[in-house]
Amino acid sequence: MPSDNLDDLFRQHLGGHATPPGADLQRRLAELAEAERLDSLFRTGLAGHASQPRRAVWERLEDEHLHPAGTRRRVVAWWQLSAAAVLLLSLLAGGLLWRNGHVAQPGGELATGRAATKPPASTTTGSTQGLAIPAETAIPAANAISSAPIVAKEPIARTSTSPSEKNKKAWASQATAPGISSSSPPIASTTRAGRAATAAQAASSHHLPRRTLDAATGQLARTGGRQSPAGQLPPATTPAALAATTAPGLALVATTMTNPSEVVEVEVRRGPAPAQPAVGLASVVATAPVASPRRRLRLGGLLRQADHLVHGEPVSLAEATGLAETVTVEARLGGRTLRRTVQL
Amino acid sequence: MTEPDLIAACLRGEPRAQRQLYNQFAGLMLTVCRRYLKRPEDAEEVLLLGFAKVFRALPTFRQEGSFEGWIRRIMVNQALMELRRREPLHLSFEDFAQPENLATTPATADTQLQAEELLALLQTLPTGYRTVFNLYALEGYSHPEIAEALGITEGTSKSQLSKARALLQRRLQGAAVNS
Repeated sequence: MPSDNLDDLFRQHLGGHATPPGADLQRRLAELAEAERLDSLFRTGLAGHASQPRRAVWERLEDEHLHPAGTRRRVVAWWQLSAAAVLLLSLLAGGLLWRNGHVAQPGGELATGRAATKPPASTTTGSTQGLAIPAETAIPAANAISSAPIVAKEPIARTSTSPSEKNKKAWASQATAPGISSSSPPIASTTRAGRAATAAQAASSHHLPRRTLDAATGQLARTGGRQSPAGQLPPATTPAALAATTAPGLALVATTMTNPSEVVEVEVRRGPAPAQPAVGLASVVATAPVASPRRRLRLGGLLRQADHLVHGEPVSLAEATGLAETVTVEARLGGRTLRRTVQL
Repeated sequence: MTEPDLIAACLRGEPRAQRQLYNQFAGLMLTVCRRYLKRPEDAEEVLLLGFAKVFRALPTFRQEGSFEGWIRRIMVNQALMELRRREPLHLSFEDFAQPENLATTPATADTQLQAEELLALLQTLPTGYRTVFNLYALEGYSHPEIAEALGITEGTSKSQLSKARALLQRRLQGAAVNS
């Protein structure tokens, strides 16, 4: 068979023959078309679609990433700093107030707690000079108030001539409210037992100007004329006892009068220097204390002493507490003078 | 403001330009993020981090291609990172192709669906299916690129894509029947 005839043969038989694709191929093609249709569906359906984000997203982006030290944060920082400063100042002011109140309170406690037991050996200071209070034991005082209360008011009235005295009176009356009725047995007994100590405490008090006549002192003032015997003078009025209790004091004078003509003058002075000459014996008593420094713990001194302690060096209590190294106690009894210097 | 001016202003650190750029692309990019992450808050987190990267990487943009495409790519990468962190992909690539889940008949439903409905349909897919479908069908990635991006084989990528399509077709059909 010639080649041309062969070619014509295949061309003629297969040229117009149609072979349909198999089922598998058809399925695959349909899937592809469907997939393309599906993809196109989502692609076109979601193209250009925008979802609005919340405003907080931009704010966070701005705050956390774009402008982390932005204006808003600076404003917040200023507010925080201002609040912190105000708080700090308030705390400081409160601390100072509290501290002042705390420092002043021991005197108050002394006045309140011991006003009822205040001994006849009342001490006065320069601001109340001229107030001569005869000393007496407590028992006669307690007895005397019930006998002649009108007379008891006289010394108080006399001391209230100055405005400060009025304040003191009011303060004392408030502070001693529970113990105003000083004629009650407990007060009388307390006075008797603790007289020596209270006398010394009265002498060592830094708030002597505040300690003025209260009910007890009024009674005592009134009973001062009873001329109680000197033998009832308690032993704690000795200079040694006073020195032990008045050591931190600066220049305090306590005078105990056993009778109007005999005056015991006790002077406590900071440091070893000789005592000032006594002010008058008949009048009272008090060389005004030089402005006594407050008894405060000094932080610097404490730290320094702690450092000394760590390094095995001697520790000075006086430096740590701000107290004097030595205290001189001088007592005059009639013509005799006793002086003792106490090393702290 | 033209796009180059906007980019230049952003490069200068001008807040207004930054805000304008964000406003211009945030909506589109949030949709991109929502295609990958089911939870809206996660999508917004990705948007936030993605824009942070955009502004940080802005000096590296050469202005040769599409700016939107550049941002979209950053968003997609950020979404993939977030997916790896939140929804480990290897778990979701487990065989979900149960017979009942596969489409047995070609979808014939009318596909006039709204974008939100399409997004909802996408979010019904398992994470692996959804991710491969997004990358292949909507982002135009090839299977080798998907395999590299997700750390899977090309065969897995093809398989996941096929199964994702089957699920979508089935659900589209169901949606058409319900409507």
